[in-house]
Amino acid sequence: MRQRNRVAEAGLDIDRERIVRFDFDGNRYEGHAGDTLASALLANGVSVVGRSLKYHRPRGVVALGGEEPNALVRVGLGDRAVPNLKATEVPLLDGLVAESQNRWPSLGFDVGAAAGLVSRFIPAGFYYKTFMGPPWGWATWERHIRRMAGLGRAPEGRDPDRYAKRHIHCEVLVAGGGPAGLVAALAAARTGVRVVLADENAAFGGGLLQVPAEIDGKRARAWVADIVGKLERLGNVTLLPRSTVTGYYDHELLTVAERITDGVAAPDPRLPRERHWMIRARQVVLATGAIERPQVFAGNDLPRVMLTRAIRGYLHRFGVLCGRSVVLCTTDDTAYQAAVELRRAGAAVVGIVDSRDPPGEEALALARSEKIPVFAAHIPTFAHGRRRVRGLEASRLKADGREVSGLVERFACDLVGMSGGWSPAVHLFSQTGGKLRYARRLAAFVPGETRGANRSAGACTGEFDLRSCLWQGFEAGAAAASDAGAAAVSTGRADESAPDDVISDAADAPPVPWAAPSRGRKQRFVDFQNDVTADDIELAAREGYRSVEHLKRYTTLGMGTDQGRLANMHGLALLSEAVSVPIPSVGTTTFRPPYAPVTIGALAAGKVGESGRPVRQTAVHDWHEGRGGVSADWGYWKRPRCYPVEGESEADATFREVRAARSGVALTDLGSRTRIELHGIDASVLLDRLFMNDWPELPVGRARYGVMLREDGMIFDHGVAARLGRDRFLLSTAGPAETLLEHVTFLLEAVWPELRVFVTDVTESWFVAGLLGPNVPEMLAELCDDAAAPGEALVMSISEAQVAGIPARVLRSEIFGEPVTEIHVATDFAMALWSGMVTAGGPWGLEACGTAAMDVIRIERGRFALGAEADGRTTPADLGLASMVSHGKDFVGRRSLRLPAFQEAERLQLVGLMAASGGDRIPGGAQMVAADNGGRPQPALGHLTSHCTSPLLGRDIGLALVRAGRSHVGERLYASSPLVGETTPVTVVEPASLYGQGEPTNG
Amino acid sequence: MAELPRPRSPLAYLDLTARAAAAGEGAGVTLAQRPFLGMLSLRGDANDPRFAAAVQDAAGADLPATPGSSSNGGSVTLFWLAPDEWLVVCGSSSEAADLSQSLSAALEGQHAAVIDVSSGRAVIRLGGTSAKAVLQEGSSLDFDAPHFQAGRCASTRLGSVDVLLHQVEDDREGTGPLYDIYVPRSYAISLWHRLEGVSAEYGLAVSVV
Repeated sequence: MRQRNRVAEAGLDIDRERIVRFDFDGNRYEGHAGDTLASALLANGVSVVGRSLKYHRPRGVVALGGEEPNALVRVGLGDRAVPNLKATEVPLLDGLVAESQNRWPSLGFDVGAAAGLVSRFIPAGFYYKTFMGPPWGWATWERHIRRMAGLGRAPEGRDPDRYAKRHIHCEVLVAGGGPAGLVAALAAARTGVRVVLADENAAFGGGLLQVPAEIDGKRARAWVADIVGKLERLGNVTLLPRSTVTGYYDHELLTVAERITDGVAAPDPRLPRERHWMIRARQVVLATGAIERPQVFAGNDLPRVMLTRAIRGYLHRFGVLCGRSVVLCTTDDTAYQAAVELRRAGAAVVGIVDSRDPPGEEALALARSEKIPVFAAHIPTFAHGRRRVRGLEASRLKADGREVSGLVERFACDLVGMSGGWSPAVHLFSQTGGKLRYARRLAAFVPGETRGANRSAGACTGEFDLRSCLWQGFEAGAAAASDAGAAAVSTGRADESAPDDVISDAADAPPVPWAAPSRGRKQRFVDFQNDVTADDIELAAREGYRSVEHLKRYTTLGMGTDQGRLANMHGLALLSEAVSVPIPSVGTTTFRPPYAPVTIGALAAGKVGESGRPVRQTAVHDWHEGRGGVSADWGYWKRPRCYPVEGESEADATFREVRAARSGVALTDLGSRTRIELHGIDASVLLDRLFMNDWPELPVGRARYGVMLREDGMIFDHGVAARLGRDRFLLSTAGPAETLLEHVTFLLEAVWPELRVFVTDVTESWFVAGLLGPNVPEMLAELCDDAAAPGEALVMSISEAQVAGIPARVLRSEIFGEPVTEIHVATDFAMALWSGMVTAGGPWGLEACGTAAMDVIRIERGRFALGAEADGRTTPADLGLASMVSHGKDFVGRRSLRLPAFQEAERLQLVGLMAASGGDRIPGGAQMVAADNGGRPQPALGHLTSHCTSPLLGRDIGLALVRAGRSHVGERLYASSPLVGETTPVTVVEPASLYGQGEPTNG
Repeated sequence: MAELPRPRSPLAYLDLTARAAAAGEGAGVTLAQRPFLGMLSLRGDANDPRFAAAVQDAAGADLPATPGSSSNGGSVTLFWLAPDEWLVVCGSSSEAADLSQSLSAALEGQHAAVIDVSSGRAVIRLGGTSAKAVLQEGSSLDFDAPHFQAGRCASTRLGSVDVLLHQVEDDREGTGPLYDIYVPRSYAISLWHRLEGVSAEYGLAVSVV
């Protein structure tokens, strides 16, 4: 297809030699390298690029950049598709595939719009009204709304790309790379401090790139290139193009979303798609520019009713003339230069409709010299056309300047430009909590009192004169550097950057009135993206939504991907008129990050998969893997659950491993168990206070089991302490090391600073292999050099030995009521020890034993586990450990144990459960109930905490916390899981008596 | 005493030799493991001149007194970890065992502790022109001089993993700075995977020490 709107003039951004082919809604088009999707579509005469959110009205491109409300497209295919991209921000690449959104079945013919179905049924506050209405309302409407409303479709499949994150620090961050930002960055950088300059566009220059301008006698682009070159050569400046400053948080933490590979032809495959920058600055310069506003009149949303700046920009940057017969509507001088440029490019400027009376003198003179008719004191009232604008009516304002008279001008045209004044981009400024000030002269909000270390410079302050913007930028940059502690003062001459000759967009007059009068049922759009009309705002005000925050939520004004960049000012001005409150008192809605949409990928960068949840491996992890060890999570640790051999089920493997622990040797990896060393003369005193049980002086070489409580009396951790020397203990516990260290460190620093103890985590330095089973002593005797084999040592003792030729500590203690021998070696020798034992253990019936088998052994012994039974809500008495609690000493948690609530008989208490018969399965996650009543609701008496199939008892057993559980011993209860629909009868027993119920020969 | 079995480094699982062979050209990041270093956890009272003197005597290096600092003496490096905690790093675990004995002897009678933690950490050496960028991916510290430079150390997080970072050398010849990352052993493989992933865009060369 021909690019029929491409003209020979201008087009500085495109390479006319290079043709780029792309596909939009299944049609092939051509554009040039350097185009955006929007400019290429305009060049090809494509007017309708999408349908609107609620009313499915045909919509075209309105703007030039990130403020675009209409041209939302889905770009790419499959798992790389991205919905809701602004066509104005999508660089055109060869082979690009894009589609419009919000239309069904097609863009040209949309059922919703054609039937006129929607608009009558979706007034302002539709959702509120539906929710507040009769209950059938939403159910009825939802199906229709889901299909008709909403933005684009999510991509299919998992995101194949990588996203990156980077944290950096700088003295001065400049947000916005237009003229003010460039000069600010240069002024700051010349002092030698670290400067970051970020701009959302691919090229720096901001507004200078959009219109013909000269600075220092140079074409604007040459001047920009010159400054950028200087910044690059300085070496202390990080230049971030294609990077949107999305958030400004406390203490000058700013987030920047950088787009790296999207829109780049043949990007380096190693590069991430986007990078999310977290930048900590000492000082910030906000040079975020200003955004042109549309005008509110009937039919103002027709395709080819565009912002005047955008019309100029498409001509200047891309050589695209958006129409041949143009009417420019304005409230300031903006339109006049545009009219001249359009005329020179070959368009007929049918008229300039200026709300002022009289318009600016210079502007009028310019129009006169170009023979362009000017209609002063006129405002546009009605644009007509079906799929694009065909004509415009403008009405003369009465002398008061607020109402229209009956005098109407009618224009035939195919392009309408709107310039309803300029809104400074104060979003980042507002995010810091800075106060906005209403500038009557501009009819816009500008930065007022600031909070945080920032300055605003350039058009975002409401200063639109280029020369003044450059001065502001220079001063802001130099002052920011100085406040950030720069030793040097900025060495540049201020006047070096001062322009000789500028063409500026002066904007002096407020738009009066804010909206043209209504015209039958023709809608006057305020917010294009959310289909909010002037009537909606008046309706909302009539219905009592008088606060701007309520208005926003009720009408959705200012929501969506453009966050009302074009709409906000008109919206609150119309509200101000409707409720008769001056604009400054109406105020604005709160601006919150992000300024522009940020992909979830960028936000999640560095927090996905193993990066977000690291894996902790013990030193023999690969042995487990090699033996088919089924990995299970235990915190961050990976531990083998069991080691099924070929053809074996996990349950059978677990049985085999339990049998080894009862009849041969079970070898288990205890590398993840917490080990802490205590050093100092008060170590013994500390242990005495940590453990709830009696703690008589422990002789060197001996060990003791103990239970620790939190200050609130709940069980916190348990384990074994062994005395290594006079002032030296090893504490080996079941809970995580970090939690235990935090607990003990807090106590030592805040509660007992007088205790002279050092606490050191040695978990990672030692590997521990645990051995259970009757053949352990014989096996160890064989593995150890010295005759005094540790197997012969006393239970609850620690000694040193050479095991498999490796210096080791041997701790003999109990685990779940079974004797266990722990071999501790330096972790570097873990694999040597492990393989040595596996080799030596063969004749003794050694099996590697996973966590599932250890759990079976534990449950058969009726012992509690952290997290399951000791769930942070159970006291020693709840778990049947009351007799263990010391009465003769003070310890952490002691006072809490006396609380009346902890004495109540109705507390949840630990009990053992046995399935009534061998075939009954106790369902996981079961609630304990009194009757099997066919699944009807009944009060739960408690819940199951652990369960397994016991090889010892030949049936399912479990542990449960049951209300007044010990009083139910001997009774029948039911373990009921509504989730799986199973209810199993169980007998309640004392936890410790489970083991005794088994036949000894089974063991 | 019989000869010890062969020790195994924390990253042995990864087969770094194979990874080293696969390295491309023009790498912006280099990674290597420094295995089998000796390490001691040293605890004591920094304000007690007897403690500082005893450490100086036995270790041959000054006791770093300010946060984030380190000191060097012969093959021994001391890192400040906390007001009463230092990490002593030396060439091998047997050297650490000797040093542990001499330190313990020198500190006899003081409230101090010397604990051999040689096997507890993996040490990853990170270098190359983009080394700093790799750290900036996971840590929010300021890695520019004078905030961080040769000799400085910091306990920080790289992503979700707690590490001790030590800047070994500044970027002198445009080849990039050198860092040592001390990471708890059980996290080492996960951290390595992360570093590899982050380095991919700069080009990665793995070397074997």
